[in-house]
Amino acid sequence: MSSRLAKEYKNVAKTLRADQSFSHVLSLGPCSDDNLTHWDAQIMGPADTCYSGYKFTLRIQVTDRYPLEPPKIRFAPFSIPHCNIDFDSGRICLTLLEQEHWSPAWDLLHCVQAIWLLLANPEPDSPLDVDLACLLRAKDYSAHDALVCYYLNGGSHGSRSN
Amino acid sequence: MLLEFEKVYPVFSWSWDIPGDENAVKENGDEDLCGICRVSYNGTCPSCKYPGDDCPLVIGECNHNFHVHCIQQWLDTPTAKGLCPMCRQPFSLKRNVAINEFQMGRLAKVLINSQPATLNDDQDMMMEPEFVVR
Repeated sequence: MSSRLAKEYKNVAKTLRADQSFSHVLSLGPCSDDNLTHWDAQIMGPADTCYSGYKFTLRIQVTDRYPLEPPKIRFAPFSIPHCNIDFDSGRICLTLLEQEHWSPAWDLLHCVQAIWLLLANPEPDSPLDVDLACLLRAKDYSAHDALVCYYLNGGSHGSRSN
Repeated sequence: MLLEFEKVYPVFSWSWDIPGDENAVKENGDEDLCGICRVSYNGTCPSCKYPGDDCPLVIGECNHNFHVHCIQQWLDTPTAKGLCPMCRQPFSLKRNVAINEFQMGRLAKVLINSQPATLNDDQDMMMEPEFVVR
């Protein structure tokens, strides 16, 4: 079904240019024109969250079975602290991306949109980062935000790289 | 005056007869697309070469339309659970629609396999002998 990917490729650029509601999606497209199965996306952290002002990179892998199977989407490793994202691998816990709950009516741009919404709406009841989830469940938002900030600024690895 | 035709180039156009579609407002000449492969209803699914009878369209009871090959592939996946990809209601074919009639048997089989426990009246009807090819 790679013709559907080609179609999405054509439409994504148009949508991103014309539709202001996607202005937080800085880019979304295949890594190279020869191979439509690997895509990259860059999104801005949502305003009024501790991710605001930061850019994040998503790595998207699409199988031959797409759109019957969901795309595999991760954040770049070691790039984002979030209770539903595994910091080391960038793996994302989002029901939409699981085969069980996937529908071919979704497309890559909407997956990216759903992930962006997840940043502003963490779901501490199904965590991949237990520490951040515990802070949210304890409603200790200032500690949560401070810990996120600490990681975003390089954490123990040093100062913010960009 | 005598006119003589030397050559005639007939041009035909066709489109699927989708009931209720005439009221749909088309913006910027956009055609309606199959929700699975995102190709026009009047085009083919990705596995077909020629549109039309080789790659027919089906109309769901929920008014969502797909190339029959696309929806069949989807319903064949275990996770589809017999649901429409657009609205997640149990997918069944709209009755008394001309273009659905030839596809009844084909989809009845898939639907029976995918949702044996949750048959409603629509699927009961589709399990009647004339709809099932075993």
